Amino acid sequence: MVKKQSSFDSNSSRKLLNIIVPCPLFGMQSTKWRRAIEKIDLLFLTLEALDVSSSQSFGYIAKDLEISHVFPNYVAIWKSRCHNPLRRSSRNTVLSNESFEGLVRILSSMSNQFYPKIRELLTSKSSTQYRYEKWNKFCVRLDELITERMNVRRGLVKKYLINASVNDNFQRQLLLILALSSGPGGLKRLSTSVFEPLL
Amino acid sequence: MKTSRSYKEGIAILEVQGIPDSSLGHNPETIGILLSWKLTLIGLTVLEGKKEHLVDLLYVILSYSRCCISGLTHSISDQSNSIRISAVKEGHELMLRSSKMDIEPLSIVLDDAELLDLTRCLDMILLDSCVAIGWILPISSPFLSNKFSIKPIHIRKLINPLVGISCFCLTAFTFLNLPVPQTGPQTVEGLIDKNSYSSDINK
Repeated sequence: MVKKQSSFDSNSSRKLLNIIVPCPLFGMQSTKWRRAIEKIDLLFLTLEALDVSSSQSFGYIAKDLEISHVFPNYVAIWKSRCHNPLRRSSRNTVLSNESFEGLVRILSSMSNQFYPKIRELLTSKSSTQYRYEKWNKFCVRLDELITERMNVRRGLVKKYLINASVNDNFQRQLLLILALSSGPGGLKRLSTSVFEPLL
Repeated sequence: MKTSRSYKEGIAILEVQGIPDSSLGHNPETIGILLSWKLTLIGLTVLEGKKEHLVDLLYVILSYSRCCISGLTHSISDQSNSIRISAVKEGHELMLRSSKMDIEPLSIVLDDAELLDLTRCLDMILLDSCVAIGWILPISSPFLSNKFSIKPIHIRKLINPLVGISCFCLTAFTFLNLPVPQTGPQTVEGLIDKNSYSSDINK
């Protein structure tokens, strides 16, 4: 059961995420990559739902991570996120490998910044009333963002919205992904799990 | 000389003590030989043990977190089954079995936030360059897609096609068993009589 692994990359977010290698046959146009972009964009939306002004700080984070050559400003990040085919207005051009890695790094770094907020929402030890209010606010905001930015006629978006309305598991899973993407080993965890389906 | 290091994240505080392994040329600040460790989960419990126990705990918790980020709720245990973590309704149940015979297993239920704290705390020691211990690490490669494709079969979804197929079979069977309508035996004369044109010629 126990399996040994030779190395677990160090904390440095500046190292290349070697695990993210485009498919040799289809490049970044394969289903796996599309699914990953959808997942990343949804996680970015979750960050925006946590804090309305978080989108403004994506550019600063890119500068901190020394990837400003990939994302010189916030608009470049937004353009990369628009590769998500579930968006109302998505881009059909191919997303570069550097941009994809950059998005993953920004996501991990932002999750680290928002960790206290995420923890607050996931804990069961705080006051019920306080937690309920916070949770409700977050869910409503996330729902609004999905409806506003995504193409609601797409089956997967409908599925997201239905899941979000049925129970809290969908939002909880998104927050759990973000929280586990934060911290010293978070980037590695996120980069290995980013290709896996969300639902 | 003993070196101690401490890692704190939320409710989890991990303190380790050790000495450098001079045979491997470690510098004085590096812990190459772990002498003792203590994990305090504030409000829950305090865990202590040998190096092997910490190695196993680290493997179990980080593997479980790896599953959680993928949305899988697998139960994870170490080789000797002394540490096991599984998903329960209230959160995540961490079961610890002591190697001593007369000690009852310890069960701790962690909520999501506590599991996250513990994961981040253990990440810290794992990635600390000053601790050079042979950790047994969880697999850091993506899971195979078949882990996600298994979906429970809903009987409701099967009812409509089953009813349709059985109706088709029943109809086909009924029509196959219907007797074929047969006309009675007729003589050649009778046929000629009925045919006016032929009878005219005969006249």
